[in-house]
Amino acid sequence: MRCKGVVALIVVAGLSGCSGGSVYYGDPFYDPWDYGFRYGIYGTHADIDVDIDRPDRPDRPERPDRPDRPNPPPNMRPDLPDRPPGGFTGGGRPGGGFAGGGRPGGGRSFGGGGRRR
Amino acid sequence: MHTFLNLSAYIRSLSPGVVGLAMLLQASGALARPVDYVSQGTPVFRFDVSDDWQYRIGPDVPVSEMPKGTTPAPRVISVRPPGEDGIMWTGLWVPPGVESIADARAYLQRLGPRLLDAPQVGHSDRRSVNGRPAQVFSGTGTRTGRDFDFVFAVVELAPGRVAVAAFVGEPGIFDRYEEALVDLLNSVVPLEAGK
Repeated sequence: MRCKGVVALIVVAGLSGCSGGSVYYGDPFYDPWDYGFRYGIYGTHADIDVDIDRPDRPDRPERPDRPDRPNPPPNMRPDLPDRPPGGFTGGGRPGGGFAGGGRPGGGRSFGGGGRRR
Repeated sequence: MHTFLNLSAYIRSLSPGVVGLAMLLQASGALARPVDYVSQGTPVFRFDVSDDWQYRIGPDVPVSEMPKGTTPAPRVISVRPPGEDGIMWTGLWVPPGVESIADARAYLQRLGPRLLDAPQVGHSDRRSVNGRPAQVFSGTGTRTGRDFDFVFAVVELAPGRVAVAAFVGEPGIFDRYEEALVDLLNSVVPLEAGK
């Protein structure tokens, strides 16, 4: 009985967090679509190794090297210079930045094509 | 494959050390149920999820398990209406180190390209959520070649603490769930650590 308890504790510890030298941010119910977005959020914060390839999941599909997620941002590609300020607005408007395109109560239509009101 | 699970099954599956406090006060016929966002053992804010929506509480890595000098990435709670996997994603979290709406702008600038390719903000709007200052950014981008709309909302829960609510969905999906999403945002209230 005691042995079973120890095994259960190890399993719980394994599911709950750390693996090796990296930090595991997944959960026991891997969902590529959901985790793809989580991965983007975790990656924004982490300067640590985010482990998405736990080896102890024989009954679940193999995880992709990169979950469904966008390409690395330009500043992560060594062959491209960093985006200029305002790069997130896409147009590279000087001083634009994330909120640069935002004109309260107005601004250009969503998507430029009026996909949404 | 498991995707989103109902809360009771999910809680049963997690260890007490990891699971955050999620309150399910689901009365019969209720239209929404409150969910507490708990970080490092402390309730930070509460929001309401439509009764028929599902949600997933992401893990919260204890600071003690992090390499020395590093801060864990935030717990993320994702919500979605049933059957809409793969076309929309909505999540809420409190980013560590983001202390104001001005900080949040810079943070979203870093975050945006990790969620979408070539995100473009089309609209920004200041507002108030339960008396707390907030700002909403919306626009478009692509992800694995598909067009998506996004809406990021930041709510200053208290000086030094900001909550982010993010929606990413195929064109037209936001409109389909606009009422539920707006209700969700408007239900955000600070709790103990968010006051």
